[in-house]
Amino acid sequence: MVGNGNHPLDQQHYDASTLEEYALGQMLPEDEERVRQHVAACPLCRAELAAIESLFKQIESDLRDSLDQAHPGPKLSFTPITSEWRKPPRRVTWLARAQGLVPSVSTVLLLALFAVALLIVLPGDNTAALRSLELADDYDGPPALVAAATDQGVVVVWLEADNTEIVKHLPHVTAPRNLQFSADGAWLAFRDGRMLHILQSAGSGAHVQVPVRETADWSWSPDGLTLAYTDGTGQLALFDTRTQANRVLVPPGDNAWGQPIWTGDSQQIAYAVVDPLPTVASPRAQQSIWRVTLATGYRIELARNPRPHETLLVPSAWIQADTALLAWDASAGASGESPRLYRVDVNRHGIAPLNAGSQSQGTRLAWPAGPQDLILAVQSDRLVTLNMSTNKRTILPDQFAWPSTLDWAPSGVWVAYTVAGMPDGEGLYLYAPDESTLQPVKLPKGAAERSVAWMGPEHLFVVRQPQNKAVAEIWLVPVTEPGGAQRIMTNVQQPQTGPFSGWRWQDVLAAQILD
Amino acid sequence: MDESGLVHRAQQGDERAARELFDAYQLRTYRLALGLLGDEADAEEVAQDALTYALLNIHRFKPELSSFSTWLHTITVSRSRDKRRRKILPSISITQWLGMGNQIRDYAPGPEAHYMRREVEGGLLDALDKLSPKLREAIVLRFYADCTYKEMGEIMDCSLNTARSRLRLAIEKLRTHLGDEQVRWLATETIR
Repeated sequence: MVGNGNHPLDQQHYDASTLEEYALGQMLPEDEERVRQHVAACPLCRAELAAIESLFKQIESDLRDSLDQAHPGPKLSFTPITSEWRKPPRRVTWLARAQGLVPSVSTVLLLALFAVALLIVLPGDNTAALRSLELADDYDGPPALVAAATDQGVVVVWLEADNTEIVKHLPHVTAPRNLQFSADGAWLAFRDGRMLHILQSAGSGAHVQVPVRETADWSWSPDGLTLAYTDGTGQLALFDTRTQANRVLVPPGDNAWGQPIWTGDSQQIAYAVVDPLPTVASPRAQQSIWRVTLATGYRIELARNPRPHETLLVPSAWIQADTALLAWDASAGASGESPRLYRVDVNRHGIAPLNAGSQSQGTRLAWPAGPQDLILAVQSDRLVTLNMSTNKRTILPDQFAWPSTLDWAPSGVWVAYTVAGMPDGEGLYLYAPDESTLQPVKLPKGAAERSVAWMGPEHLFVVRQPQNKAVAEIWLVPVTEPGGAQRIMTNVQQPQTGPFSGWRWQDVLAAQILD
Repeated sequence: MDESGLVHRAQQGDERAARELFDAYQLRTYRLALGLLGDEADAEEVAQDALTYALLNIHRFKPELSSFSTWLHTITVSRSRDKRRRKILPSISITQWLGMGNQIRDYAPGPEAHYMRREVEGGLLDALDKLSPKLREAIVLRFYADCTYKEMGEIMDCSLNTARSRLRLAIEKLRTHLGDEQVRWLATETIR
């Protein structure tokens, strides 16, 4: 009946939730005192509290009785760490080692001479980073740019046939978030701490920094000229790469939140409005989806979330020639549920759930709409394809392995996906929904497949994790000749996991093919 | 043990300090993983993985943001989720798939017996086994690892309020599983 430690109002008793908070010792002191006084005088609440406390004690003692008796086997040992500890990149600095010495004058002189020698002999930052990445020198894929987070900071690598080189090195950026190239690869955006960095991908060109909150999100326009970003304060703004100036589209008081979604012609943006602004993806009091037109700044509410206390609907992609929007429930992660998909009718200003659920990958939708408005979704534990134009749903073969990451080919004919838990080299598949053709793509053993993305019509970039190593590798796989797969980069940092236990690869990697 | 001193030394590359941290944390990391996964072999693998990652990446640990144990718990929970996800995903055999006319075999869980089920005769731990992984995380972190809501939020990568909601929901499910009568009987037993 009553929560949050307030006085009981109607029936003069606290509810179970309040008494549980009290038993867990998680109340404010004044609330706790109020509950204590009431319980002392109320036999019913005292009995309820006793039951709760007994339950908690029982949980705790059962857990302790079971777990405190358990001991790991001999396999759990420091030995694997020892062998890796001494390998580069070194954690030991020369300075740290020198601190262990009692320096005499001669030692100091020797150290100074040694330092001078090191400055002369040691390679530059770029050379060290290049060596650490072990870039392939026989790359034969399409021209591409890759940005990767490494122990040496963020590096941007230019890849073309017989030429791979580092074109940008940001050694001070150790924990980037949400790396995104513009469509032409000329610009790169990422967040580092509370600063959004927008910079030219190569050379010492422009580098703009915009203060944002950690909930900020952004996306490049399809024409590659403009970055739209919500800064976490409710503001939606644009960065124009031609003028290198920012322009506010939605002021902070209007509560724009999440990733802006561009129409194909780069003229309009869909975005979520959430009140109050969330710090994490959670249901709110009011919520709607809006569209803003860049040329006029005109804004219109497309649809209002009918259940804002239960869901947080955010746009994901424009579909059906920009006449409709695919949206999904971003709050589902808190409960561990698969997010529900919705279709927003732009003309009728309506919103309706689609007849299929979705899995998700990190903070992105795992089953993004393919070029033919196809999505791969989940329904009653079965994988289905759903065509959002025709509303045709096709159930895929029984017990199809659930992808852990998935990407549609530019043609929309093939979908490439990875499956977790497969033996090394056997976790990559191509699937053609129209023909029900499944094609496993075998890669060399020694590393597990973690993520996949199309790089043009004939190549895949596959992220792999070598056995017993907390780093990632990037492989190029020509789909016409899978045997020609080659490792093009290694020692990329592993990302953190995001909601739904997905890997946030966008925090450590971005790739852009250059046609 | 001066934990912050050990961490600092390990960050400077002192292998002995890293080994001491390993020795100090191996048991609790293993037991936390066991609480989360309920399988000894999986827990051992996850504990090894989490400790290896934490120590080889200790230069990334920022003492001003959290304690070392919270950071290690975060890694352990994350690795346990990975392990669980790998185990529950259907395994696919292309040969079989083709041989069965595009039917992929049903996923059958491995032969590993669940530690909890073997150890406990029904009751609370049986109910714990039935919780969803995230609700189970909330229970184990609160009642075994003694984490506060704030620490639970950091470890489970969610807000404090979400951590609180998960714990409440988990408790509610445990209560439902046991039934009010059994919960009240527990209280009576305690009073006696």
